[in-house]
Amino acid sequence: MSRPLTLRGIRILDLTMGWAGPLASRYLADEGAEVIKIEGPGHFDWWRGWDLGGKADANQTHEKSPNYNYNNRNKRGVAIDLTRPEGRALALRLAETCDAAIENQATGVMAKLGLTYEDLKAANPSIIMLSMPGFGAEGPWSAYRAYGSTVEQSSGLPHLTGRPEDPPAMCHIAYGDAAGGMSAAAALLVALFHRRRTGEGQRVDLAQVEGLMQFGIHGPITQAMTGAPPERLGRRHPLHVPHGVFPCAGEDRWIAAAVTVDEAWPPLARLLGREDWAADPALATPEGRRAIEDEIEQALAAFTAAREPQAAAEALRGAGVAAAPTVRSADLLSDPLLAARGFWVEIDRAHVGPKPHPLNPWSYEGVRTPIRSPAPTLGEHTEAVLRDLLNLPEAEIEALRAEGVVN
Amino acid sequence: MAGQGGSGALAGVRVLDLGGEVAAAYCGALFAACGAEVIRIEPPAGDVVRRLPPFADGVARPEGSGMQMFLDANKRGLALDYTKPRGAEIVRALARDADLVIEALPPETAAALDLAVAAPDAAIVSLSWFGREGPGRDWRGTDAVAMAAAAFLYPIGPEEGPPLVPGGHQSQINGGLVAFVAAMTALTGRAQGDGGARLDVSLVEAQAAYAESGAVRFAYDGAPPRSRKGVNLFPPIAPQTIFPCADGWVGVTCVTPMQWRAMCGLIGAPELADDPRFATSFARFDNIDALYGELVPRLKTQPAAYWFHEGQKARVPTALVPTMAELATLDHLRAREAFGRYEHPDAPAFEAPAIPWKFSATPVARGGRAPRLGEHGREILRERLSLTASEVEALVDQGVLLAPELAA
Repeated sequence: MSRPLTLRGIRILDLTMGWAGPLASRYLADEGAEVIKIEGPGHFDWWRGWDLGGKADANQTHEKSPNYNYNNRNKRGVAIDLTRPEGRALALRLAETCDAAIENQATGVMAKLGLTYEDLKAANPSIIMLSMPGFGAEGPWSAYRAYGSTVEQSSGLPHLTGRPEDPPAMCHIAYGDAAGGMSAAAALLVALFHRRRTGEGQRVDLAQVEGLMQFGIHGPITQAMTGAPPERLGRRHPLHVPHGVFPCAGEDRWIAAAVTVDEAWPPLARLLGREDWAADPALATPEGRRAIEDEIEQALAAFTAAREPQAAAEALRGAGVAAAPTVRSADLLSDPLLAARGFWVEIDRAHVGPKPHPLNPWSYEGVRTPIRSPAPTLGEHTEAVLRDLLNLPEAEIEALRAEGVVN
Repeated sequence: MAGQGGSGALAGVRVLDLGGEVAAAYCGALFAACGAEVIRIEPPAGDVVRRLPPFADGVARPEGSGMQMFLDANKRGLALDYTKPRGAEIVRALARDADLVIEALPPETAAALDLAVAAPDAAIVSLSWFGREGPGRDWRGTDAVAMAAAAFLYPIGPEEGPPLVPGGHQSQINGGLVAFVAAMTALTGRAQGDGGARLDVSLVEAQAAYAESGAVRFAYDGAPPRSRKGVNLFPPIAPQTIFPCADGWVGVTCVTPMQWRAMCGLIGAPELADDPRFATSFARFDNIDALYGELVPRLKTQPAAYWFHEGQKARVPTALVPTMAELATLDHLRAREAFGRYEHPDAPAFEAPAIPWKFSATPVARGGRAPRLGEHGREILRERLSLTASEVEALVDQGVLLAPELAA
C-alpha cells in the first residue's frame, strides 16, 4: 500500500515564473498539493526560454526547456491573459477555490494586474498569498529588480568566500534562485499549517536577499561579536586541519577532503606514509596540526594527485577522512550514490520524450514520492480547470477562447 | 520565555532537537522562531555548535559561541548522557511526547536510541551528509565535501584550480532549510491523521538543487558541461559579475539586450550597445577581456552606491556588494527590521540577520535568548515526564542529567 500524499487537499494558485518561484511550488506539488500554474497565452513563463520573449516559435522551443520541464512537473497548466478584465476575473474566481497563492513577479506587477493580496482576500478572505521579490515587498529598495546573481551579491556572501587577495567571490550563477525557492516553500508550509488550525489566511513577504543572508550567517555574527569579518580562508576551515581541495589524476580533477574527528588523523598520516606524524602527540589535535598545515596539505596533495578521484575518495573514506570528488553537474546523472538512493527518475513528456528528474531531497520511510504527471504544455489544463473548478459551461469556455482570454 | 508557547504559527508544536551539526540546529531554529516549543538535547560535553567561532572576547568556550547563540535562540536546553540506558529512556519518553524529532547524530548513536520504534507517532527527521540509508551512510562530511559531491564546488574559483570553498556553513544552512520543508510536510500529513514518519534528508541531495539544472540540461542536449573560467566568471553570461568601483564593489548582470543597452547608457558609452563584439551576452563572454577593458575604468570613476542606485533606476540589475560591516547598517534592511538581537546569559548580545519570513498574522521571533548547556533540564523533566524533584536529583547524581545549579 502506498503512503498517502502529505499535502493532499491543498490547492495553490501559482503565478510564478523563472526558477525560484516555480521551484517553491514544485516542492509542494511533488508532495501532493494541487498547483494550478497560470501563464499568459501569448506570454508564457520566460523559463521556457529567455530568448523567446514569451512567444512560441515554429520549433515549439517553449515546450522543450529542461529547466521549465523539471521545475513544473506535477502542476496543472492554465493559460489565461491576466491583462484582460475577463482574465483577471477568472484568476479571482480560481483564487476563491484555493488555500494559497504564490507569485514571484517584480514588486508592482501584481498591483498592475489588480491581483494583490487585498484583491485576492476580497474574493477569498482566508487565502494565503506569498510574494518573494528580491528585496522584499516593503522598504526603500522594494521596487529594485534582482536576479539570482544579484541576490547573492546583495546578501554580502561574496565577502565570505575566497582568498584574502580575491575580489568578493561569487559561488553560483544564480545562487539566490534555488535558495529562494526553498525558503518560500518553507514559509508557505508554515502559513498553510496555521490556516489548517485556525482558518486564518495571511500575507507572506519573503525578501530573497534576506533568505540568502541566512546562508552566510556566521559573517554578520562574527562582525558583530568581534568587530571584524571572518577571515577569508580560501579552502581551509576554522576548526578542521587538514581541510581543502586537492588535485587528482586527470585534467581539472579535484577532491575535497578534511579530517573532522581526531581519530581520523593517525590513519590518514599512515596513508600518507608518515608513521611519525601518526605517532606524534603534538599532531593529535587540529590546533597542533595547524602549525604544519602547509606540509600536511603538500603530502595530501601528493597522495591524491597519484590517484583517480574515485580511488582517492575510497582510500580517504577508508581512513575515516571526509572526502568527495568535485563532480560536475552532468556527473550527477550517473552518480552511484544518488542512483542507489533513487534520487533520479525518468518520466515521459510531450515534445521531449523520457527525461530525468531529480526528486525532492528526502524520503518517507525510505520511500520517495513518485512523480504523478509531467510539466504541463502551455494551457494543457485550461479547459479542465475552468470546467472542474469553476463549473464554466463549454460554450462560455469556447467564447473566452475565441476572444483570446484563455487558450 | 520567548518563543515558548507564544502566538507564532507553530505554537504548541513540540520539537526535540538532538542536533549533531549546524544543519539540524538550524532546522530547529526555524521551528523555534515560528513559535514551536523546541527542546534542545545535548550530550554532557555540549553540541558541536558550541565549538564554532566566533566567541565572545575571542576565547573559545562552550557558553559564548556566536553560532550557538544564533542557532539555539528560543530553545530550552537539556543535557543528558544518553549513552547510559536511563538517559536513552528519557530521550525516548520525550520523543513519545513530541510531534517532531530532529537529529543529525552518528548512525550508530541514532540506531541505539531507536526512536522510530519508541515514538511511532512522531515525525522523525534524520539529517546526514550522504543519506541515512544507502552506501554513504557512514561517510563523514563537511560543507565543502557535500558541495563537492553535489557539483556545487567545481565552478568556484580560479581557472587553474583548485576550486575555492565557500565560507562558513552554507551547505548546512541549506540542508537545515530543506529538512524544515520536509518536516513541515510530515507535520501536515500528521494533522490529517497520517501518524508518524521517518524522514531521511541528505545534505548532498539538498545541495544538488543548485547544479541539477545543469545535469538535466545535459540529458537534453548532451553538450559537455562548461569548465571553470575564474573567480566571478560564470559562462555563458557576461557581464554577470562583481566590479571594483571608486570605493567598494558593484554587482552587474546583463542578460537581455535591453539591459545591456541601458548599461551602456549608464556608464556614458552608448556606442558600445552597437558594438558587434558585445551584441549578445554570449558574445560578451567570448570577448570578456575587451568587455572588461571598456567597463572597469568607467566604473572606477564612481562609488558603488552610485552605480547601484543609478543602475536600478536605469533598469540594469545591479547590486551593492556589502561588507559584513556595511550589511548591518543598510537603511533598507534596518527599515525591514531584518536584524534581531541574540542573547545568552554568559555572553554579550549581538545583532544578526533574523529568520527572514514576514507573516502578516503570525509573529516570527527576531532574535532571542539561547540556553546554557542543560539550563532547563530540571523543569523539562518535571513538566514533560512528571518526574519528582528527588527523581531528578537522582539522575544528576547518576551522571545521567547535567543540570548545574546556575546563578540566574
